Amino acid sequence: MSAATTLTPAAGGQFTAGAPGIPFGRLLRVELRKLFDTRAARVLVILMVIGVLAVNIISVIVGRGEPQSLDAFIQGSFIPLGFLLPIIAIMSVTGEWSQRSALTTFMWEPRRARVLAAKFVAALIVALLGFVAVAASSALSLGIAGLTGSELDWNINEAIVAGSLIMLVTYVAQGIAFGAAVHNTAGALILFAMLPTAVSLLTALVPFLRDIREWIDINVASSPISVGEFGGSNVTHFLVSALLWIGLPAAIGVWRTLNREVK
Amino acid sequence: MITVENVIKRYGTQAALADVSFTAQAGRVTGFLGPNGAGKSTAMRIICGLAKPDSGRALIGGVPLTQVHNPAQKVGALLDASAQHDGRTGYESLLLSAIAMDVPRKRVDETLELVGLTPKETKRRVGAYSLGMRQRLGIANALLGGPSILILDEPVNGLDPSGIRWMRDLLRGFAADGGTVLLSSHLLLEIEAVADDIVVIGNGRIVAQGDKHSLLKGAQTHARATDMLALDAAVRAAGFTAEPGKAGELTTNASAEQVGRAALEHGIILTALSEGSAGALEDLFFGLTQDSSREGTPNPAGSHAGGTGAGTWPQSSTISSATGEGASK
Repeated sequence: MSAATTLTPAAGGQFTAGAPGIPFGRLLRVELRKLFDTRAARVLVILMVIGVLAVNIISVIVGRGEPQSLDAFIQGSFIPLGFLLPIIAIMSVTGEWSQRSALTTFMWEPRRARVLAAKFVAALIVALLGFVAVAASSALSLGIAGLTGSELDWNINEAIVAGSLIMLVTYVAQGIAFGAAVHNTAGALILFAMLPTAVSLLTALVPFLRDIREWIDINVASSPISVGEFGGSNVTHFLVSALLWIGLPAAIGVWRTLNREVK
Repeated sequence: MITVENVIKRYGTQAALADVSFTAQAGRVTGFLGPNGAGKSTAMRIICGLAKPDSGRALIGGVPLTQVHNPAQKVGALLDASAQHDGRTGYESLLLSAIAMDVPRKRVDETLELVGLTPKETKRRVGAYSLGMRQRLGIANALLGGPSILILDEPVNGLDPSGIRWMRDLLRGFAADGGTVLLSSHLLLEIEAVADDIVVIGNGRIVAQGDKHSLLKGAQTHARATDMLALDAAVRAAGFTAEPGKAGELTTNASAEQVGRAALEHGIILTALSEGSAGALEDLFFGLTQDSSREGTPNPAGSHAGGTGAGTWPQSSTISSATGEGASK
């Protein structure tokens, strides 16, 4: 066969003109879209909107006539966001394997680590947009609360808001990492929801673990952060536990994603 | 142009591909033929960069796919029609590809129309699609970027007869325009109908490859006569092989002319005489892959190999029992 003769540089040049794969920006656009273009993701977004609306409406009704603060609205609205956004993040990673769309995705971009990175950045962008939306809806709700005769506190406690935002980002990162490590939606969701609680239980029961719980138990380590208490060794504890709960599954996840055969 | 060089791939101790090398040339349709589990899909996944070979390499236009710029736009692949997100609409699935490959949105509509999916169908979730519709969507995805190489794993599965005809014309036209097509199938006649070159794989090894006509030229001649015993003796006397073929025919390595001459010489009345032609590839396929197929291949020639000829010739009913022997082997 004339295999060797047709293997001219020109033929290769057609394929290598330009960097390998596709630009990150395009990958990011696709991954942003993919977060919301499936039926399951749309259901979760609707639940998220309903959740935020419910928190705001209930707060306005229950607190009518009493003093209300913007902080409280923002903190309350973060709860449905922090609960459901990580699920969307998990599904964006596990869906590639359980729905086998990885077959298409890794043909667009064979450098799989970049695909994971795009999914993380996409989820992060959504988390930030979610924060902006929550802030806006909280301000609106507080205005409405004013109409019911509540005394309004428009001051923002930056530390509390920053703490909530850090927790949201942490949950999203944890979701992506768990999804990348487990590759199975149900499995990743269960681990994501149960493993921290299981570890909390262990650290409460085992004396040796109880001594280091603020380092290894993300629930313990994050509770001061979530309310904006960054003093003492709180940040160090939080960073170490985040390394354990995000860094470790992320490392496993990147390794598995790079090495698993796509079928 | 696709080049696979000395690829070895093991799963545990099982060698899925044992030193596989072949090429698919530009301007030609290369049929990739083999029984289930022979290694076709594994080889295609390796070409597409979705699986790593233990050794050897697969190149697209001289480079590994991982080094290709915008690979999905240049290499259209359909490896599994069911590997699409059930929760997305058909249109959305293609639109994602269009964004990723940076092709204009109107290509999405054009390509969906080309594969015969109606706008109404493309607005439905892929989960509600039949296999044939998924296959069409997958083909649309492969064609979307206007690639110069197509890699299709069993693309006619689930297509109706008109769909199969359409696919055949599409692939022929694609190759005629200078494209490279690598097409796997276990449907022998499909490969015979569309391929220019054929690569036969069995048990992880390439057992034959080359131009379809030269591969089939060495194939056998089939003959039938009123007196099969006499024909068998005559062909053997002329120095050729003679074995019971399918449908009560005698299969020989002699040419049709040589069989005709032998029959004339012995005054035998021939009732059928054919060379290669339909089914030739099937013979080649079963002959080459019989050691590697899952259930001892129904291969009359094999089951009677070395048979003493005279005495085993039938009245046509034994052929089915010969096939039965083969299958129960």
